[in-house]
Amino acid sequence: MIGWVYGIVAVSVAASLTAYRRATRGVRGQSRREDAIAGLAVGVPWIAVYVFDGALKANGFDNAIVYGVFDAAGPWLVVGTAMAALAAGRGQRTTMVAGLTVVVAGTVAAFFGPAGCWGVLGVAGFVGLLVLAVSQYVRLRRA
Amino acid sequence: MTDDALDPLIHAPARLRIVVTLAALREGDSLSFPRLQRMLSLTPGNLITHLRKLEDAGYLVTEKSDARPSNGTSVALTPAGRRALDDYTAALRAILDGV
Repeated sequence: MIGWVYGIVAVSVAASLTAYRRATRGVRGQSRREDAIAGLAVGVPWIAVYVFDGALKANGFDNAIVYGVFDAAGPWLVVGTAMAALAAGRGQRTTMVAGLTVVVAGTVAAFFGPAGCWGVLGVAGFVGLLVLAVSQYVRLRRA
Repeated sequence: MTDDALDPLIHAPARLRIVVTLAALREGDSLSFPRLQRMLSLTPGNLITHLRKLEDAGYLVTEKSDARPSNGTSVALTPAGRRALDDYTAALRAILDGV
């Protein structure tokens, strides 16, 4: 089961990188440098969460805690924090609030236990993507 | 408002596509000539001709990259080019609203 989780994470990261490279081929300038910095700021902590799993397992933590709570909530905490910090540096208030909301969702979900944590974050992810889609739709309709 | 308000330099279909494509880039970014050519499916000669007209009007800048000679020239819209596209879009909307 855990092999599937790591496999899906690896495939989604590879697919995202491929799509990004194809979309930005031939583009030069400031935004490429900013994207590289943002990619490192978000990507390295995200990978660190999964490496940290090994440390928890080596220290005798139960599978339910490692794969149930930490693996579910950890990425939300570190990615949300990196996202909020980057947005704060750029003065992007809306993105910063979104990053902090991700952190709060990850923190709250951890209280719901191994299965509940995945469930709460699944619903939170669905609601977050729905809000993003609606806001994009409204923005494009107004443009 | 009449169609005189439409900037004739941008109104040509190929140049309109060039300006709209470059306007999608974030400010300060540029696009390589080969990528722009592939995206618009124009011949190099045709693209160069249109780029030159837009550059002469101050709507875009081209620069040679010494670091990557294989990709050669890159193209970017100037603030004047973005303003011209905004004005063109507003003029077109006004015409369509009056129909």
